[in-house]
Amino acid sequence: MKYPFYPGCSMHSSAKEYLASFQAISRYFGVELEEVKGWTCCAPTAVHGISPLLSTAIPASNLASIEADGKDCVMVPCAACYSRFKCAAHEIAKSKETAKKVNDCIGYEFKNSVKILHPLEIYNEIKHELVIKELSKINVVAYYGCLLTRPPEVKQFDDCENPQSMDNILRMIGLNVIDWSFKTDCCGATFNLTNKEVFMRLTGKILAEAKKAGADIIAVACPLCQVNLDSYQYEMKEPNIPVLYFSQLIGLAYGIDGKELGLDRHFVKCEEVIEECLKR
Amino acid sequence: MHTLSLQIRDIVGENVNLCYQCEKCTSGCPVSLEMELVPAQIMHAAQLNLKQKILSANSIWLCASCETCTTRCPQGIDISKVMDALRIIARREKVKARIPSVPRFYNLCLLSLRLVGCIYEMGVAGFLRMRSGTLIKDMPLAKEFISKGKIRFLPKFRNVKKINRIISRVKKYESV
Repeated sequence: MKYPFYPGCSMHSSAKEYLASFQAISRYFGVELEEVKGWTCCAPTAVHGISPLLSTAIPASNLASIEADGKDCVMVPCAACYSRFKCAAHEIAKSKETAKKVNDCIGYEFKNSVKILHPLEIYNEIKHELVIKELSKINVVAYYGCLLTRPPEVKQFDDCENPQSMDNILRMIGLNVIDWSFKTDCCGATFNLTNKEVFMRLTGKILAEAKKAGADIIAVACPLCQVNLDSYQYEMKEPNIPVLYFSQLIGLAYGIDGKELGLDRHFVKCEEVIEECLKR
Repeated sequence: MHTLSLQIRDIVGENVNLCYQCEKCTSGCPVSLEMELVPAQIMHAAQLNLKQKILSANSIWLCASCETCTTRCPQGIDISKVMDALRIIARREKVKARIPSVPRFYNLCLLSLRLVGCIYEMGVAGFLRMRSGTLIKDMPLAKEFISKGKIRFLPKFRNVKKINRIISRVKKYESV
């Protein structure tokens, strides 16, 4: 299987380990990833607070170049990019006027024919029967954040209040998945730069609740959530809980080397925690 | 002069007059605790055309666009988009923001898009930390980000021309 793949900015910077682990497991499953040519930024968060049209036109121009290249789908692992792409496609489908304006802005007659996929959708469909490493002693909670599931009529991805796709994958690869109530609570997004106090309250709550639920590890599918939950724990009194991408955990289960999965790139050291859990 | 609800409808196509104050938006909002006017009050004030009251509260700058309100509104109002519209109105009408770091962040992101073609994280974060006076306190964290290769010290230019071409065409329809 071959998928056109849009990495977005973060997978080449803060989330290199997401990219590395995603590529590693893709190789393992024979999924070929082909980076989209000439991609631009997806125009995240700040832009829809400035100009709705701009925040639709920029992701649409990316989808348009994928369409012009003759492709019918694109894999978007970053939840923020995924969200912008889905929103743009939704706005264009909803209003002819928006579609006309967008076409004018990007200089292309966009037919909106590109299906936008998140890796969770792909890996949910694979039957994980050949897991190599026994991970059942690791307790994990799946954290989806805001952008993957909300708003539901735009994302059409899983249940918006109690999503299961990541839980299913983690369970299939043998982890002990714990149910909890904070799967889709907000991590504070870019508030680490603008409203630090609010940010610390939001991330602190999620981390504390994960601990309370008995989790050793939090699994995420969004680069922004990962950075937010992982990198400010040193400022907190209690939490010391590793935050890993689901793709890293899949890689781990299939015996892929921790270094290749970028396990050493996190702020909260996860390798020791994993070792300790496995000794139980 | 348009009323506020019409202005909002113009910008994002949402009708605030559909709100009947069930307050589901407010119960689910992760930041309503810190808001001077909670989301349901914002909707009510918008219906009553109380623009100054809304724009002088901290609420629109505390909204994280998590879209929980949008998801749960029984009237199908995209409240998160209403918040976007209010921020856009504040920007267009040059209202002084109660939490200035948020519009500053927006402007820096836009500037970065124009100059670099993407968000130059190091520049945006560095400048904001400098303005908030926490640059020195956060130096160790920044150093770790750089040493882990999680943030680029120098910007990576990406299709700057293409982005600017789109921005200049968008300007035909909307102020950017």
